Amino acid sequence: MTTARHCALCAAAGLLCGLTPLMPVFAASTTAQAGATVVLPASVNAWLGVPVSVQDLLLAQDAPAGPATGGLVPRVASASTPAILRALPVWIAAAVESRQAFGIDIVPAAGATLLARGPAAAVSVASAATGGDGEAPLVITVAFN
Amino acid sequence: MRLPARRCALPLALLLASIAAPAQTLNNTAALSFGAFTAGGGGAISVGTGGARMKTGSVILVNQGGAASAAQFTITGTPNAMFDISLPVDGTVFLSDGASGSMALNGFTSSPSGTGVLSGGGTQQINVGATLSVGSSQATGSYTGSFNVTVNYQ
Repeated sequence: MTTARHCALCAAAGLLCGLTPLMPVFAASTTAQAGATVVLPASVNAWLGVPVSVQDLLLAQDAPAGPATGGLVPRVASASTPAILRALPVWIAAAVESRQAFGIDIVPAAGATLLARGPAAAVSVASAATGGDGEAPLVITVAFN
Repeated sequence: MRLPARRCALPLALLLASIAAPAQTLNNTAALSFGAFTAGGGGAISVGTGGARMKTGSVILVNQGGAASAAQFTITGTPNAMFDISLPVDGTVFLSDGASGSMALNGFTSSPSGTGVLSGGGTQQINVGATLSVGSSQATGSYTGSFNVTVNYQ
């Protein structure tokens, strides 16, 4: 091989090697999808009956203060509760932030989720009046998927 | 004749080494999902790299209609190689309902975080989570968007 050929090869290799750190073969990129669904809430206080308290529900169930799945509790029927729903229990799926000890009381819930069997996809105990006696009416929300 | 050959040895070796290195690939195997929720007065929903969903504000999480999940990626390349993970910066990713509604996606996190090492088999899984900002009375609907993840060999 002639010196000229050596030099040409050497120059080419050197150039490529010099460029290698900038070449995209040492990097990889991809696109991922992200999604969320905002569902429509609807107030259905009558379905569980009012007044009823967070304390009543949570003490009855002893629901965990976390995103764990709880068990079934009896539905609190009222005069306006549809007959078909009265016999159905309510499933406590989560009681996040709902149980906060305050003396001997459990203060009103910041939020709890009750999944109901039947037409409602999810029932949420959004809030109750402050005071800590656990006797204030609940604001109950049902979310339909 | 010998002097040019010696000069060529190093760049040639480097060139051959770079050619011989397996290509690095990154594949998305699962989407980032925040599941379903009611917006209420607004708040935020975070999905961790393990897929756990947490909320702040008056957002109400709904446990039906699709579970929340972290995005998952599989990286393949040179065994035992170290790599950097680049995630979207805040303010650059939004989910849209296709109309006027949108929600910002910020606070991206990954596991492993920042850097990682490919296994002896030359693969590694990366999980990515983020925080979704939900506006007060956010319009109902299905929101979608996309984001980029980049990995670089160190």
